[in-house]
Amino acid sequence: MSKKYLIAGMVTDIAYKFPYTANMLKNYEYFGDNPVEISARITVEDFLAEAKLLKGESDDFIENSAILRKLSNVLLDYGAMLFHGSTVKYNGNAFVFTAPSGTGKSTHTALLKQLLGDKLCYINDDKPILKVENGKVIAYGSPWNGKHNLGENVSAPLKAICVVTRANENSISKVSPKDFLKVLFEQSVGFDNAITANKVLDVLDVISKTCKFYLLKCNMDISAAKCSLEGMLYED
Amino acid sequence: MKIKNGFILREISGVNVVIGVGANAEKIKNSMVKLNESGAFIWKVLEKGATVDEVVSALLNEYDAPEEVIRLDVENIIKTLKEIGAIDD
Repeated sequence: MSKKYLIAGMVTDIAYKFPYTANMLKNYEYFGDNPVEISARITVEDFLAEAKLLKGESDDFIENSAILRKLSNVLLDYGAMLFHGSTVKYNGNAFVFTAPSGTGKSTHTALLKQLLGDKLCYINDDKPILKVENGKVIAYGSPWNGKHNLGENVSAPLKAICVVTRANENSISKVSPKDFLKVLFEQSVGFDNAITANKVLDVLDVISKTCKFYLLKCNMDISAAKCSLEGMLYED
Repeated sequence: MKIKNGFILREISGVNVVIGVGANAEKIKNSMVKLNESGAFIWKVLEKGATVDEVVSALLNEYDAPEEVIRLDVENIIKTLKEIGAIDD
């Protein structure tokens, strides 16, 4: 089965066999007349290579992972990369909360959603696409939107990346991306080889020059959301 | 000695960083190294392959510093690069 999808604003050709991927992609289907711009079709070889990496996983999961890898590599040719972070839209701008898995970034954006209601929407709770367009970075939703399925096929200019760490007391401060390169590398998707890694770094370089960076130390109380709202989302 | 495949040097946000890719990507956590200007210069010489003496003389041509200072710098950088596996012993 092959269909057209709209991913990062581009008409994308994706083929799949299993319902897991079909279900994940359904909100991204494209019904317009524009021709296909990019293809994330996987070959049998792609599937087998992925199966080798994911020994013991089910075929539908392997297929999905192979499509994600293919898409991620194709997107890099268009200045777009998948990034690991819970991403929300507020007041027309995108904010990415990033951290290693288990730190509580999704918990934090859930608190923000609780605090702000309809004023805030999820772009993607897990792997948004960050795309360079005319020298600026736009955050797009992607079908890979985390275990709670939070996200939409929407986009917004990326205003800031916020590195989340746990603490008893809440605080937020503006920081230099120079001091958080390791976190940015670890949460970027596409360091498979030197060619793709260089393209990832091209995107990260633009991000580091055009976006603001914050370090949020937070607990899991609603006061944490007030802290990032006042310290980051309200900022010009 | 020579820089192995699977490591790249890039300037990002004004900082020279070395990172691992591919099979080394998992090691990014341990292998991300920031290099100063002379460190990046040494890397570029080692990309083509060179002995310690060749690296030292390349640096002597580029920088106005005593040889013993340069040699110490080279030895330190090489030690760091060996630690992350970017060059062989």
